[in-house]
Amino acid sequence: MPRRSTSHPLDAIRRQLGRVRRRHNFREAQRGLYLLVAVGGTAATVVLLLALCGSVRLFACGGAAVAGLAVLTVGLLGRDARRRFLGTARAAAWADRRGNLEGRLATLLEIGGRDPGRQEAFFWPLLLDENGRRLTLWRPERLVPRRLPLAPLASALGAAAAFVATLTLAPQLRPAPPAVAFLTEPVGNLAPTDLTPDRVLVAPAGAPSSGEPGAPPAAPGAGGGRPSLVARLQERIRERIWGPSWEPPGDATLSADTGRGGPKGNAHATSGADADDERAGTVPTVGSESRQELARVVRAARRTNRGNREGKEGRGEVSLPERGSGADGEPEQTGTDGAASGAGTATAPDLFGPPSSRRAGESETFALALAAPGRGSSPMPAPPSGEPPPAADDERPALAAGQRSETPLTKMPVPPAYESLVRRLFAHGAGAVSP
Amino acid sequence: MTPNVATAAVEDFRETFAAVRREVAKVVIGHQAAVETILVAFFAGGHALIEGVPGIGKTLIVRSLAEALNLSFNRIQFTVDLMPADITGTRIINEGLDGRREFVFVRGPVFAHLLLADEINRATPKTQSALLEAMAEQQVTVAGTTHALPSPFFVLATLNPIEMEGTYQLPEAQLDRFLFKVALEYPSRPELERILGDTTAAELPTVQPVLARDAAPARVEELRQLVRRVLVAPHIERYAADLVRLTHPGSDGEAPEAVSRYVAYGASPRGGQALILGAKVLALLAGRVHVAVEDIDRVAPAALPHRLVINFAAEAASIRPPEIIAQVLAAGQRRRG
Repeated sequence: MPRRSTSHPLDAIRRQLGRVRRRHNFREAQRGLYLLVAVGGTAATVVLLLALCGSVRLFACGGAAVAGLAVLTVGLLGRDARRRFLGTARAAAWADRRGNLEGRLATLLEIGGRDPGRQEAFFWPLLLDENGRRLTLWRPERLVPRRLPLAPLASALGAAAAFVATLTLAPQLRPAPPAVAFLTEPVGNLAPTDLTPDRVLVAPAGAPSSGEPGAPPAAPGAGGGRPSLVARLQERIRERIWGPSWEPPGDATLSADTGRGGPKGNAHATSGADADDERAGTVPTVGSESRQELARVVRAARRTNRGNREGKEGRGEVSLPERGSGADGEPEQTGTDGAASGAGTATAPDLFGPPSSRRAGESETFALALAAPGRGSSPMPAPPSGEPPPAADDERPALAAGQRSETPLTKMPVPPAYESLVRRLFAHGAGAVSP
Repeated sequence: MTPNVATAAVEDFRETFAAVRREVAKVVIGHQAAVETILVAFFAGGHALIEGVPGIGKTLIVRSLAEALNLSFNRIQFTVDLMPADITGTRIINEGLDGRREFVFVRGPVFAHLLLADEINRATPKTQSALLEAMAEQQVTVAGTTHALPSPFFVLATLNPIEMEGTYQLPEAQLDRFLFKVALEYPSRPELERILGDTTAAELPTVQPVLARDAAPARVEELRQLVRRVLVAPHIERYAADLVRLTHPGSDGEAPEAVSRYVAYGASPRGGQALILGAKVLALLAGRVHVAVEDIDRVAPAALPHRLVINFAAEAASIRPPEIIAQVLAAGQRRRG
């Protein structure tokens, strides 16, 4: 059958197939996009919650798991989208199957692609006629009923809503302010001379553990090393959500930081704003209900101190240790090692150990110095004091068997009459005589 | 050719097929699927091999088919002493009226439209091979002279799966020449009850010819030509070719595990031809003028198993070719997506 006589119905069928293909592919593209948003939103929500409520280890492990799952899901989505995408070659078979055309459309378009031969000429018009009568069975609106893929769209909206809700509710996830203990008397077995008389010791309200929400981020390997990238990332997220004034509970250096300016008045005076508050009779005591108020006062004093320091930096008066790492407007942290840089004259500079460049919130533990007057359950032993005892003399080790003593030979006077004989006797070389 | 003419031709084919099946069903009780497969092979222009125990109606099917189609029918009972000349015919000396003697070719039973080769595996390979030329080329050569067989020519051979002593397995080359292999099972209880009632009654059912005697061969050839005009899209040809290749154990790792483990040799290209031809008949029966994938799937269990040569591992594991073909079909459908 010459193709010319059947070109018109065949062209109409091809045009309809093109519309079906475009509609389907557009829908699949939307579907893929919505699913990507859903995956991204869900992953971001989980990571945000982990950053706010989890420890560094949980944040690292959970974040890695979420990232891995997200990458895997995106890969699967990509493969699925590729499989669903209708190319020109697959479109006819797909529409044929969806339209329940029993292979009529695929056969027509495949044979129509080449000129039907003589053998095919007998049934070709009938096949063309059958397809023409079945055009309504596979209209684009029928095969791809909805333009919007509702389920992926709903999942994308849900994930986005969950993320926004998490962001909105995130300030409420901020951990409770630290309990503040204000002591005016030495505790434990510490001698009064070993203590700096006035302290504001900020201790966690409960016993913070690494896994407890709000606990200071704990770097793996703890203690001494530089905080990990994950810890810094988590801290950055917390600061972004909770603001730069956020302090992890248990940060005992608050008091030290607020002590800049030295003791005011007597030995019981606190420093800075605390001292003023105390003089005004507003300083809460241990166990009072105003612990939170005290923490707020301490933080306010710290902010004041930070402002003063920034002013000094602006005038170029600040020393290098004072600069710390508070670049780009970040609040200077006073964690385990911030005591020296932030200590006032009312507090011993080495109260919490030697200064270092580490920032608060970057270490997983905070080792309280031995001399700090804390509220411990058992009295701490007094540190050694006084001059060290003199070192004992070194003892020579015993000689090995057969080793000659190192006792030096003693010179003895030789009478002049025997001098020549003695010289010859002890002379080295060829002139020596055997005794 | 207008669509109406084609539609009428399709309807004519369907009606003829249905009428023949209806007439055969008058005397052959049960075995509907087997009868349909045999009819498909007949209209596709191939030959069929029936495997079944004695007494379940193999000969009756062929005889009633010949009666319904109004075609000539011969039967050859294959025995171990059957000679090729007993099939093809031979030359004898004939004395004419003028007293002159000359060799005259006397046609054998192969010269019929429908030939029943009963228990073909009991004859020697030499005699079996006498059918090869007849089946493949629709002609026989005797004493250097080629004689054309009548058209249509349809061989229906039977195999007895029991009493294998003294039999000769059909060579693979001869098996490959059968379009389909049909397994006849024992009738079910209702069918058996009906068989007993109908065949022992005073009046036996008779088959009425569907086609006119003189026009029958031409009509059958016309219907066969119609079958060959059914449209086959390239994706159907690819699918059939995939199925054939999947039966090959060394087909680049594409073959299913059962094929790799149990098949020594896969189907030949004749297997693919059988798939397409059988699918064309099924397409016409479904009122379509094109072959669909479902037609290929329906034909495959009859067209492919007897073309597989299974190995000793399959024999030991009691794995039969139809099970392997089922896995081949599943693999083919997976490849289609």
